Amino acid sequence: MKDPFEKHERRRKPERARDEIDEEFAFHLDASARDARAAGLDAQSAQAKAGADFGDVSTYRDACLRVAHPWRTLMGKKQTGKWSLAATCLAIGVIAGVLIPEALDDFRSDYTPREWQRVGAFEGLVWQNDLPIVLVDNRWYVLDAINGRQIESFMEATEARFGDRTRKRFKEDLYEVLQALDEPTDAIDATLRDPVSGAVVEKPGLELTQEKRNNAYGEGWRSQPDVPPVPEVPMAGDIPAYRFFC
Amino acid sequence: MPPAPPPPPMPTPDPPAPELLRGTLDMMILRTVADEPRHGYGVVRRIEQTSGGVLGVEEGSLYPALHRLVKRGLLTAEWGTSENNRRAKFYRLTAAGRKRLKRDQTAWSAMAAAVTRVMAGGQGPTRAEGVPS
Repeated sequence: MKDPFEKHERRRKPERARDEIDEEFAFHLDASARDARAAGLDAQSAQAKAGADFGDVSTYRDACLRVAHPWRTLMGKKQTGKWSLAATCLAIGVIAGVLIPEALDDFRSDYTPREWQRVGAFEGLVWQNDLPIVLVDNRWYVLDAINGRQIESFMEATEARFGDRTRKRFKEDLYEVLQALDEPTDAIDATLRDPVSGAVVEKPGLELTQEKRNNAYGEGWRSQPDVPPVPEVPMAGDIPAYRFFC
Repeated sequence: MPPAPPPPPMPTPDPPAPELLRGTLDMMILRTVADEPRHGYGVVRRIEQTSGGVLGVEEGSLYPALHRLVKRGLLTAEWGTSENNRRAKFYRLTAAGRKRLKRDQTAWSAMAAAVTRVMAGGQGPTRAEGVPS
């Protein structure tokens, strides 16, 4: 069974990630040097060849860390950023402590948790060839990834959680899906692909709103004159080849 | 008799465009671990071996790609023991990775066939005539 604290632990200990990367690289360099020795080089030359074949260790270590901990890597390089963040958090805390409780009293009487969860990131959503085709800014795209996670992986995790209600949940209750997958629920980073040209479009910070969700749910886009018809998405073999170069 | 002029230098091939490698490397990694879980060094050697030594990248550049594929849920990574009893991280294809590989392989075959037709001056079967799509 997956350890529920694993993700949190990984986030908390980037230094452990660094150690693991170093161990992984050390294994690679040792194996490479061993093969070079087996091919006839002396120990020193073999080690030098392994290093040269691998390239700059610190460059690749940083690249791996950026994949695992993008914001921590950034903070590690810019210490001033860390203090700015701390100061901002403190200021927010003070404001929250003074102003929010009063506002919350007025708000509580109208608060309906279910309503808040009925939010979505796309103005329309249809399925073609098992792929979600989404409407963003009045244009249709193939949804390739959410928060950097490929859509196949995302849908698989959704299916494991929601079974045969997967597509319905995805379309109508994206908030619930994101929450179940431990993803941020206020906005998503969407990687989209133009179904005709194959061009990849990144839409970072795509906000989840009730209006978008309702438009997708009620298929309100069908009656909106500025929304183009849903394009025919080609089958896999017809996907423009330059997808690979993007 | 004057000495023979030195032979002209051998032309060196231009390095492949990084744009070409960026996407294809991911696809080749997925294919390489599709048969069995491999550690990073094993992936490098396998790509080199199966490409007949034609495809060789700076070996360290493989790791950001491996880590990215894990983050995207297309691979899983697990520490295990190597053939030499060393602790090594092994990468395995997930079900999502297998689906993505299938899609990419199909599209790649179609593109490779199309480029081959172009380079052959338009000769050869078109998709309608039986090129895999």
